[in-house]
Amino acid sequence: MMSEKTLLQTRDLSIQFGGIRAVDGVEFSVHAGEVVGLIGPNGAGKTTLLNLITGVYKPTSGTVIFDGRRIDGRVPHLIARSGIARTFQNIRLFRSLTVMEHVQLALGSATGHLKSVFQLKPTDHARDATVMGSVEDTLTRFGLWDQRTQVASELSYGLQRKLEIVRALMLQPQLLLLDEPTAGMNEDETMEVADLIRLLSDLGLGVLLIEHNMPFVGKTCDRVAVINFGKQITTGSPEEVRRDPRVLEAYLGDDHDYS
Amino acid sequence: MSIYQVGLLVQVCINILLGMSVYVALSTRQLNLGAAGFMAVGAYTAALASLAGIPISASLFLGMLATMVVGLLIGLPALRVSGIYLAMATFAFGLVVESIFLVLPFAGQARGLAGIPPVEPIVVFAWTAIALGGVFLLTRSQFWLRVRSIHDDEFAASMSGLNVTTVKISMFGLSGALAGLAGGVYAHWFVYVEPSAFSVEVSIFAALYVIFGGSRSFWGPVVGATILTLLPEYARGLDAWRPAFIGVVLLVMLILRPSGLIGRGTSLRSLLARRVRRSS
Repeated sequence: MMSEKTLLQTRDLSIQFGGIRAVDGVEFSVHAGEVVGLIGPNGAGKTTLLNLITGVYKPTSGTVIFDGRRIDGRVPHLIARSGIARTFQNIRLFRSLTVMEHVQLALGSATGHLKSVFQLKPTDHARDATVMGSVEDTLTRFGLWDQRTQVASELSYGLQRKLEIVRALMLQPQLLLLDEPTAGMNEDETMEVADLIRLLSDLGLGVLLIEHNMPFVGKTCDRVAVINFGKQITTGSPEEVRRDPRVLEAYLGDDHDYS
Repeated sequence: MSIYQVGLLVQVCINILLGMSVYVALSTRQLNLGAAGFMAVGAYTAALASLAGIPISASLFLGMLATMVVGLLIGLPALRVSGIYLAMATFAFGLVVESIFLVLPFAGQARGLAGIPPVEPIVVFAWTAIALGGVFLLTRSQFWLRVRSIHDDEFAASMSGLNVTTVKISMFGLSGALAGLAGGVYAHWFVYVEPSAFSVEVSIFAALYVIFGGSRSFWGPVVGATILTLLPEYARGLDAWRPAFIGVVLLVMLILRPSGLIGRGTSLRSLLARRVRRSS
């Protein structure tokens, strides 16, 4: 259910590390309720692009506009609170925290530090509202409700990846950035995550995801942006992009026989 | 209780406070090897205040406050370095403080400050209890969840909307305050302070209390400081062999329980319960 509301818009976004332009003049947008895929060979600059959007890096030039406001140059935690949540290519959970503690932490992250000192740890967040109903509904939908008291490091690999998405959702974001959400997952888990992402976009979230698995991209994404050597090669529907010779060239090299 | 035992208990209190100082900073992965430096600031501030006629408890509070400010100031540049480099920087801070008090004219220089009014043991116990109670409640608060998340993954914590910077700086301020209180208590118990009392050895032992007791639980530094303070006393019979004995105990401990006596999630109660089950 894509709406007309533009959530994220980048203009001429570039960053230079030494002599290398890791991201070079990238322009794309994500609308509310839309799933946009970001694909490209390894080292193309996809994760760097996410880091630019989330404030980890400051762009050398260009702008990032989110929800009508410029956010480039803002500090990461404020960007996160303003409605952009992300996951990581290599899982970055809080090892010693339980599933529920991840939820607590993210849900309460906007509370001031001083106030948080005087809040003795609340134990029940199950009924707090989220985009998927309640916390309990969300955890159940992601298959994590029964594991809610388990420590993150003890969860299976697939559940750890899902918990990353749940933690991001608990920030109540408008835009979700997923960095290879199904890496290392088996086929069933991958399709489950695809359904969850479609569900989230139906609920109005904008999703920008990096992915290598093309069937997954075809199933989840409304549009795909292809990046190579920091430059945007093309943007289009998954079907269009798959047939684009420039995309095949980027992945396979230009003197390859495609037939 | 004999005077000797009371004195020992006061020493345990001082060392627990020092251990706690290292523990709270380490909870956000900041290894503070300059506890003695903070302790010196607290000791001298409280001593000078008392010598100026301020009541002891107010002096202790002033010492704590001054050291907290120093902690916050150190916490700011500490953000730029991490791991072993931060440990080195705080270590250097401890050395610098020790030598500053050697030259400060109003702090008595190498002669130190004498004639500090003595503190009643009960006041020491009360202050220690209040400080420990405060830290204990903090570890049960929503704020501590943030501390733990930063310990586990600082980057992910900031991406989850947390202002990591302020958490880390505040923990350094708290670390300073606790060591400052230990210093104030020290000054008023021994009624005399000199720079050499705040040597590197004190800082290293403060870190050892935490490593020995366990760095991921509130009870770790409490147990660590208590055991490592009392053990040398009960091993007096070993005479010259005492330091070697303590060294061996530390080594054996690190081999048997590398993450400290008390691990995460092992509360004191569960540890005692296990003992009881084993013996029954």
